[in-house]
Amino acid sequence: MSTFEPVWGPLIAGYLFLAGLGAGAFVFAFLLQKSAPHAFKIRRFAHILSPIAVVCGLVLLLIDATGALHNPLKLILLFSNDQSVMTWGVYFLIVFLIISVTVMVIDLKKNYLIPRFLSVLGVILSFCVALYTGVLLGVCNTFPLWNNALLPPFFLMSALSAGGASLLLYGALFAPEELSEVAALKKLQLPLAVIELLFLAALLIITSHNSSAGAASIAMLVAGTWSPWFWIGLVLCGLLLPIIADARSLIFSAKAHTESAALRYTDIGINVLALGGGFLLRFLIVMAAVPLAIAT
Amino acid sequence: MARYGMLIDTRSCVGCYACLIACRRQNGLSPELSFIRFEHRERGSYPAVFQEVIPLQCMQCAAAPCVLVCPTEASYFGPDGLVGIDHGKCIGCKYCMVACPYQLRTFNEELGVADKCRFCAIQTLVGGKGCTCVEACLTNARVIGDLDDPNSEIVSLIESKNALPIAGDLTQANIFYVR
Repeated sequence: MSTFEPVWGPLIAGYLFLAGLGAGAFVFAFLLQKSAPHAFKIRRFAHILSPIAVVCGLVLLLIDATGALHNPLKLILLFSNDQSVMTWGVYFLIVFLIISVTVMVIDLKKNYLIPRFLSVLGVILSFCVALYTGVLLGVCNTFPLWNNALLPPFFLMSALSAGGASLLLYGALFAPEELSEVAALKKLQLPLAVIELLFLAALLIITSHNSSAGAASIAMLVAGTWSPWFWIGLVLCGLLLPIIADARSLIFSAKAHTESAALRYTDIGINVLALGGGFLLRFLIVMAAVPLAIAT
Repeated sequence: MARYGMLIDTRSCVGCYACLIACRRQNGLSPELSFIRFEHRERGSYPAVFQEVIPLQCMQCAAAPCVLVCPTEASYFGPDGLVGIDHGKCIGCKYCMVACPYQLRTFNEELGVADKCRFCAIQTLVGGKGCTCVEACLTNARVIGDLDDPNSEIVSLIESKNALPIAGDLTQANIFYVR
């Protein structure tokens, strides 16, 4: 088998992560409207973060696409091929950005009443953006690690969890007084992380059985080049530690939670880890994809 | 309408890379760029073993994943069954490189665009020089021709040598291999 150099790398992984993060933050801002009407600071942060994260992701994408850097006018052509998942993504991202920037402006003008249709439309687009990042990779039938129906919902879960973690991190750092208000958001983090862990296990088991290239991908993750990143970075720090911490604060009453400095620092640490895990997930899936052998 | 294709006889190929050098020269490529990738396989069983050299290049697929995924339509189906890249439209997103099941696209750093075998046969349509990889081959392992012309050399050779696309009907490739 010839050695294969991944075509896409950290820049694309960063884009996939930031697009998901922005989409997830928007969804959580919507949830906070009802469940935590007084968490103004956290909600405003979510409204600012969602378009900015997506734009930062798009900048990474542009840095990777050198042809467009040489001649930015070419970007207009991105709307050409309606069969390309990337073109679908461009449409989703543009509509998402229009909505999220509008919502951000409304919020920044101290107007806390975001028009309902705008929020709902934004949430739908958030789902589209988060899911499309999985479909983008999923349609490449060359790579068994990507070419499966699990990737879009997996990326969606991870996007929601990263969006939530970023808001909780902001809350723990800059708006601790609002943390008790957003307890419902915090409770969501546990099931999201558990679902991610289950998806990851399913992806590993099924992909390793689908072809020798699939098995080679999984071997790279669990026992090869990427195994330290996979086990320590993604599984332990990105998923298990947040799950343990979230479960712990769910079991023991979260009453003293805002007062205790130690718990606050735990919160900060756990959410940083969860965000790191979200990036690592994309990074490892992009890097560990092994193509199917063609000339056997 | 013609449908251009190529026959590559791996049993004749000695792996001298003359085709690769001819291709670089014809297309003015830097030494970092290769449109032909060579893979090696161990064949036979002891003691009758040999090494098979398989030169791989853009398969000019009739069902080309690169054309399907290209967001800007820079990858396109050209005339006579050829797959082309319009560098003027390519933004360098590398989606086609990811989608190619054969990994036969390469990145032209100088232009910031995807690149691949241009099947210089396309130049014969306008009266230019054909594929020099075919001419350069010492052992005549390469034959180019019209797959739709029942009287062409390539069609009779594909039949007599039982040449097949490298990966079955994966993408309806127009390069046929004798192995």
